[in-house]
Amino acid sequence: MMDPKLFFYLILGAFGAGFVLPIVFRRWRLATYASLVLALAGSSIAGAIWFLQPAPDQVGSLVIAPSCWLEAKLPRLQLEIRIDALSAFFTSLVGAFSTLVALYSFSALKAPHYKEQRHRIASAFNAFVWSTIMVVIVNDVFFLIAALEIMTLAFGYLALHKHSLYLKGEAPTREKKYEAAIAPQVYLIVSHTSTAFLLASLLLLAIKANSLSFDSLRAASRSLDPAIATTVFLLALIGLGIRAGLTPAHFWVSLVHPCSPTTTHALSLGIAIKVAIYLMLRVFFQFLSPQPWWGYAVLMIGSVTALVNVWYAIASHDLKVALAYHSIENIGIIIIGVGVALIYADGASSTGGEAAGWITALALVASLYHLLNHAVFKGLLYLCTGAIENLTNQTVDMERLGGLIKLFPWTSWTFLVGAISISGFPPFNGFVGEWLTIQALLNGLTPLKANLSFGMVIVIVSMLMLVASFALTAFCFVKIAGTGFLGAPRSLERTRADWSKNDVPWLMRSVMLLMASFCLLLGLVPAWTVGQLSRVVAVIMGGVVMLPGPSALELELVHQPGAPILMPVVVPLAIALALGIVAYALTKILRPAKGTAVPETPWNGGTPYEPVNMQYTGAALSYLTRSVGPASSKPPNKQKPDHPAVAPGIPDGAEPRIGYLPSEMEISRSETYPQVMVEFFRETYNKWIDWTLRNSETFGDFMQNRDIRRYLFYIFIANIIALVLFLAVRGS
Amino acid sequence: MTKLLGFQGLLLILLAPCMIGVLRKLEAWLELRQGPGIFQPYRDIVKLMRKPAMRARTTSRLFAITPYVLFSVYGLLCLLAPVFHRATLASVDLIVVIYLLGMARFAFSLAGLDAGSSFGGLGSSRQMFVHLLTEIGLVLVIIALMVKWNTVSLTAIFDKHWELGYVNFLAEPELILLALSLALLILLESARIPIDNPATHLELTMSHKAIALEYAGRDLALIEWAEMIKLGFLLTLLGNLFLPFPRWADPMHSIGPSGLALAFGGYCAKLILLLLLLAFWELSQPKLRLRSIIGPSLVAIVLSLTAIIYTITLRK
Repeated sequence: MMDPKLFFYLILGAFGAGFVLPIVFRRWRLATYASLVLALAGSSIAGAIWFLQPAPDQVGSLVIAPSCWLEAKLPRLQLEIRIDALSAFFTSLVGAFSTLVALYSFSALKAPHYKEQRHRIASAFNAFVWSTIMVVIVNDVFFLIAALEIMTLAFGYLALHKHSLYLKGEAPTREKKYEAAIAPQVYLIVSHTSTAFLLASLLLLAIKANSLSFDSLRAASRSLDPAIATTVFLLALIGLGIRAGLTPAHFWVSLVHPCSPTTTHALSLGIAIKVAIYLMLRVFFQFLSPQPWWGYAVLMIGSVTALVNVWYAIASHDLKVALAYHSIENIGIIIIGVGVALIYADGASSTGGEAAGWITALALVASLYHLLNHAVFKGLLYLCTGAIENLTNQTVDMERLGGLIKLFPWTSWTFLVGAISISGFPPFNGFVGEWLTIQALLNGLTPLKANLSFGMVIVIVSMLMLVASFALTAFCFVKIAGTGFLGAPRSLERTRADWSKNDVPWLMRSVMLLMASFCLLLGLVPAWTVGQLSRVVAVIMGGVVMLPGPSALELELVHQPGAPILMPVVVPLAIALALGIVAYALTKILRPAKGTAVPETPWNGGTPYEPVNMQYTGAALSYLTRSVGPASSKPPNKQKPDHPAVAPGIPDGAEPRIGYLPSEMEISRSETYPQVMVEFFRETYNKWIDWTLRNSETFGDFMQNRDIRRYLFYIFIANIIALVLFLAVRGS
Repeated sequence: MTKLLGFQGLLLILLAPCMIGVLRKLEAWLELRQGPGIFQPYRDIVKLMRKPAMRARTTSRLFAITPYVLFSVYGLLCLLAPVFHRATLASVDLIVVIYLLGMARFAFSLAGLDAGSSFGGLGSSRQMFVHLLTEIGLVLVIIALMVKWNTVSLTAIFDKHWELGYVNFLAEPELILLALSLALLILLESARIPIDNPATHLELTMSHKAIALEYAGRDLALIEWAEMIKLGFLLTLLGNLFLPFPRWADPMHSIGPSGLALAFGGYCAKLILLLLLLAFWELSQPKLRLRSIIGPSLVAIVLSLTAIIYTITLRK
């Protein structure tokens, strides 16, 4: 058990120095390296926290209170750190992951396109990791918000990366240039909106508990008025939903994250976005007593998120954008587990009766398992993307890659492992998470059926959406891997002249290999992992969970005698391997020794093979599947204000009006037959923005006429409202 | 004995080509043709296996592995499912079955794109489209079974249906609806007539064969065999879960050599019946346009939904 005080000072020292060094000595290359070493040290300490934590109920806390004269005058403000199993899980996840990213960065940041920004990235990386760890270990509303703010600023700074890159050099397209320009702005707006909602919800709780400490919030959770609890829940759901990128607030993720450097992109989308899920678990389960309908709401939001985002992922042909959409899809899957747990968390006989406890546990285990899996395979996919970006001179357009598996075999094969994992096929880890989620939903049906609850409809509908999104994920990765990595190169030899001739250096390779082996390992030892995760679940549910220990290598969650849920892993894998060997032996035995095959070009109906324009494009590949849904594709509308192409009346080369979100996703870049898919949600936001721009002038003139008395009046009104709210909440 | 019976799936793997031979023979007879012998598929496989695999220059190792992946995944499915006796090597649930089917499809679709030809991509696109439609349908069948029996374990449902016996089985309309739904999904899943005509070899109309087009020699032999195993497995699944007859072929209580022989005989008879139905279906139905196969998959979904509603509303 590590002393929390020591831990706090260690990571503060390491990341703090790592943050300051490259800024002060920006000319020195050594400072950047030192900063990465410091990040490595801090992260590995954080990564070890889980294993230094012997029992789930041991809590380490540290109170750093100001000991000066201020203490007497001001409300008590103390930094309190509490590392329970839930915090330790997230801390370790962030730490372990950023250790790998830091290792990878040593080599990756050498690429020429990082040259100008290396020290900034290293510095912001330190701040980002530190603030992420702080968010999950602080035990106090004030410092939570402060840590979230630091995280926002650090990431906002990283999101400037592409913009500053394009300012120096040439942007690949005008669309990209525009997106890079608005990304930091969009991120700051979104993040602050989210923090505002979260702050409102936490302050409501704090007023009730008369303290900012999480301990008193937890203590007050039982005596909370249901109406206030619901308000808190809704505010927190909106705030955290925006931060996690749940539909309809998913629009910012695929815009902002691809603009950050790919090294930290892995961290920000693999882990940092899950901070919102950590906070959901804290707030919903510990600060509030969940009501079943919350669960249904969260379940619906989760499944809609999963389906909508995988739909847009199919349309995109930019690797980074497609992966960003997939991240949100996986957040949706994780949220589904949280939703099922919320339905049963009240433990009332009306919903689950005796079964409620283990269904909640199962759902939470599913959720956490998928969270862990997603961090691993998505991290792997991002790191591979970063490698490709370095190798191909920043080409991440899948329609221009192709055939990478022969050019860069290490990167491509590790990417393929990630692709199989995310598509959820055994024996890799994605399967376990998806399987557990489906099991949680299926088993959640049984008590609802017994009570003829309407919730059954919601669970079934959500499950269908979930399964559709699984199938679409598999399709999307056939498309990504098939067009980007397999086949023959899709661009001409001369445009590939600036591509690297060799695969990435060994350091990057080994990090990617390590993550790929984690993908396999987590798929092969689900029993051990579930055993570890049940410690976290025990903390979330506030008690010891009835989750029997795993037997042998089968994951067995016995809930009712005679009907265990089994997930055999090793035996089927052995059978499949044996069958494969038998088939191989058979072909060897039957095949005559003589006769060699001469490799030829693929069959194309007898015409000479031209790889660049004969291969099936991603747009063609996805056409059939896209045609199932509404508004699958249409020609681009160049008249729209958000379209970066020149609209009539605007001089050539003018930029689009800042403020609009690019709402048309390019499906095919063909010059003769360009196709786009309209992103419904972004288009809706654009309408909203349009309305605001049109009306803000008159409204603004009325509200802000530069008269000091008017502003004083506003302050007066705001104070009155605050007082009324305070009394209403405290009094109830 | 029971341990040994766990390997009954191997029998299905070995007999799958013969089963296809029977299907072709039945179709030929219905068309008043003589048709090839029922062992012809074995000869085809052996002949192909003796030829070296010709792989295009553009392909990677993934392309070479895929036939083995297909073979072992479908073979694994056979070994995990009860065939004519309830003993299996490992007990799984139906979700694993869906995922394994999906995995084979995923690998095959990737292989379709690996050669870099236009036809392979065509096939991959169609395969994954069908995957989307069937996966939703199959999961609804699973949900319906969960609502009905509170379990999705393959062996548990198998036992429950055989315990019912066919007289009681016919008195459970939701199970009949599910059987129809599953039958329709099997047609979609195994690329039979409404999607693809296995008798033709025109590149532009095919889904599955468009990918296999790039394969030759022993690779092709394994792929063809794997496809036969897949159809055998799907028909066995349908027959064992939803046609719990004849009584004397009861896979639960067949003990001793004579009982097992009877069970095996009953299983074969049932399979031939299913093949006959399939032959009738294939000869009487047209192939649909690709985008209109949403129709049959919606029918399957509606059937399962009706079964769910029936189970909930008419609880006993």
